[in-house]
Amino acid sequence: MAEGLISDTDVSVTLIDGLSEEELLQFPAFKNWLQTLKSNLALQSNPSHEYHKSPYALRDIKIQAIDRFGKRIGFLKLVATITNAEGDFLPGSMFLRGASVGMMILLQPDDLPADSQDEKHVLLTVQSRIPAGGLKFVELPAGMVDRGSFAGTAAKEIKEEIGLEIPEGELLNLSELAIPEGEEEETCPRAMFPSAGGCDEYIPIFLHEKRIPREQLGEWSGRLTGLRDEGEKITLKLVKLDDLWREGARDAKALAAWSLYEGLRRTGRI
Amino acid sequence: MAFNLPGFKNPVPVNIKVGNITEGELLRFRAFNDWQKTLKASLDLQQDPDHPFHKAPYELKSIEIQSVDWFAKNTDRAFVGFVKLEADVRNEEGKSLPGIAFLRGMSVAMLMILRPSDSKTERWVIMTEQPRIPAGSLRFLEIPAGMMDDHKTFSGAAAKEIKEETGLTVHEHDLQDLTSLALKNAENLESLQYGMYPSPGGQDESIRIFLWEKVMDRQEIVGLTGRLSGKRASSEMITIRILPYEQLWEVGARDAKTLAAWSLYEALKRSRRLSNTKTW
Repeated sequence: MAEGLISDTDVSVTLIDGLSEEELLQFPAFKNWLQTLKSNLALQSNPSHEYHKSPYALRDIKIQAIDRFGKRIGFLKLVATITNAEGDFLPGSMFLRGASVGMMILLQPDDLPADSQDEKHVLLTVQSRIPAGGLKFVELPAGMVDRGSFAGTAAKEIKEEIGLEIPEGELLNLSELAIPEGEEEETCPRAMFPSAGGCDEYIPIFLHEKRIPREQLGEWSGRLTGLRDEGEKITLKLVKLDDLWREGARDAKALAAWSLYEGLRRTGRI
Repeated sequence: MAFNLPGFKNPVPVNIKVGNITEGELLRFRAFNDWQKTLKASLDLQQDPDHPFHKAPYELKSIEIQSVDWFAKNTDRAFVGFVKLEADVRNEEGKSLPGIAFLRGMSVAMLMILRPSDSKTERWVIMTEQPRIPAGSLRFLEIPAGMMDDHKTFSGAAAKEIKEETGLTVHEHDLQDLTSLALKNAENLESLQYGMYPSPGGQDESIRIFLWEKVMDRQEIVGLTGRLSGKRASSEMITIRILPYEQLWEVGARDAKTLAAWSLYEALKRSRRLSNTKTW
């Protein structure tokens, strides 16, 4: 178990066996989280900041557990100590895993008028989710961002999980449409955070709408997909967009997609 | 430290790799218990010939406890908050399912809507603003979250702050369970919780989302919005905000709970499955 200081700071880090400081600092999830946190902590120097009188500072970070996918870091469990001069602390225990992307793919029979909102269907995935204790968990398709852009990851995941080839440029980032840029003092990813109290994960939701021959709609439900050699066993489920709020009610991503789509449509932005 | 978890077809060895939890403490951690019971029920469903895994069913082979966080440490109220574990779930073909899980248990979130008595359509909604270090933010906006306590009342830091700032308390008999209303009529493939799962690929967490809607005198609402719209007090961890309901989905677009609550409320309203607002 190694200890050290993150260079250029006085933040001490306690590592665990098999994890070097260099590898930690290069882990994109850690790097991005630390950068975001530092820039938002720095705002406290502004006299109008609510914590200006007694600002919080990051004192140390303790890595508690690591999960690797092959050689790369997959997840980290860590505790950050963030206190002010009075000894108040901010809860700093977290599961660190980086960003994911969510994909809302709408299929509509192409025999309907182009501006029709009728008979739009959403593609959902059904797969095992051991943390939820289920083997048939219904969700909006999603994937972890490893390298590359969010849209690029979304396009790749759509191809792997659903079998559709969609160019990056035809994916619309609903989260960024809903959350305007430059209107806040803080820097924070413009995406949905499933569990911001305990996990760094954030998920921008992408939209793609596709019109297909009516007879092909039925072919989508029950299709078995997923990367076989990664052990993924994903079944697809097609539900009416109108029913998404109900059929996807256990899934944060599905409800987020419903909300963003509905809200942006109502306000004329899509 | 290792012990066998009972209740499964074959006993499941649990290997505790950290020194800050005992077997008894782990088994008393409600999230762990709920999770292993739910998993067992889902694994048992594989006995059904129609189950996709029936031919080569998965089995829970072992569990490794990797990290445990206690809350209110060094007090007599100390309790287990988070457990990080890895479950080995595999079938006879050697295929395994991703088993890394961050356990934290169930919680509740409240869509708290205030309606002035002189308007049929106007609505205001209560949000919390607080530091969320995992998001790297000191000003994260959410709908109030917490627990239901033994007195069937919304409790926790947010509930406490809401009571202090607004005088409002939230009791079970004033609530409509939106997640339950939505899921009762959905296709339920397994017996999972009636709740929204923020991150089922990594966490057990499920959140029941409730609606609390109250009609008040306009003057009272104006008073509240006036009091709560100022700068945050420097020592406050949680600040309460009131905003026009129309802004909710955008202002809360980073918060899974807000988007979930908005979608369920809007959809249930549209399908007329919500009871009328009570007037106090």
